[in-house]
Amino acid sequence: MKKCRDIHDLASELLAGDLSRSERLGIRLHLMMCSHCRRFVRHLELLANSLRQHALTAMAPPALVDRILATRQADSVLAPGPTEDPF
Amino acid sequence: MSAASFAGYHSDSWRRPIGPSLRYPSVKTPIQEITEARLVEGLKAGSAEAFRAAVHRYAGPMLATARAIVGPAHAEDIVQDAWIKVFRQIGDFEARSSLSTWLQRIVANGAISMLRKSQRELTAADLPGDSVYADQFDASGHWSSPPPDWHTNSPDGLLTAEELQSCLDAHLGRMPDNQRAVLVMRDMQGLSFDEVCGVLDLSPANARVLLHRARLKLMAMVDHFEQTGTC
Repeated sequence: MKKCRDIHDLASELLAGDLSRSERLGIRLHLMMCSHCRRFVRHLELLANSLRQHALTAMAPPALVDRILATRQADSVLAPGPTEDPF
Repeated sequence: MSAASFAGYHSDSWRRPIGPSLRYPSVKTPIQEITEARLVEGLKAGSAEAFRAAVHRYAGPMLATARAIVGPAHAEDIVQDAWIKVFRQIGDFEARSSLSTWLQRIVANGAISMLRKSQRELTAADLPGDSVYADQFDASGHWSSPPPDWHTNSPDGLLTAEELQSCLDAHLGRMPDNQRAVLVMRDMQGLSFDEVCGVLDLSPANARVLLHRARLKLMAMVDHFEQTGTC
């Protein structure tokens, strides 16, 4: 019979769907009876979803982009591009 | 694994928006419509515009990865160095992985090298010890001090308080590098588990433990904030 500590240990794997069928069943039986663990699992899922919404935006600062492009121009290793750039 | 007190790390930088959207007027095709295969083709051909498009598309996520591993202070330098490697080594790219994953691996390797130089290893050897919740179970393994309820069940509403966001920044900064790296890449950047393991050179089992322990630390932070209004 699963205990609360087991739910605490396995909650992330439960949410990821990484547990065996028998483990999932044991956890679900415990969750049916334990409101504390239901809350714990709910909070873990809520946190993971909230973090995703607070992710850093996907664009780099313009100054960094400019430095990267300037570095590429200064680097002589890259072969010259085509006469008419396809992009 | 040593604790996360990296010199020069400023904990208020995790969530600052890192730049407005840019569209370079010289790019004939909107950047978001250029396929990865086309980008690779252009990069290998030495196209300046392909390089510009690739930087515009991938520098942001690469910066997030660098920040996840070493913190914000040195992340931009790592990304800049990574792009030097990219345009020198693109000829060796054989598309065994996606271009995105290849780029992430380059920047992660650069970040990990920086950690090694500062004698802070990003390894799985030092897996976390007891969970922050370890003392909240009785001898029979049941909650003796169960987690408090939170004021919201909505992801939109959970981390909105400015004070809680500051707590989040502080806790991310104090987290061991390996835990922070896995958490940020998986839960904030949305990389797949396989991608995270590939980029950070971790086994899935170790990565799962690191992610879970990082999440538990943040959960305990929210518990405390919900009860006291402080970090």
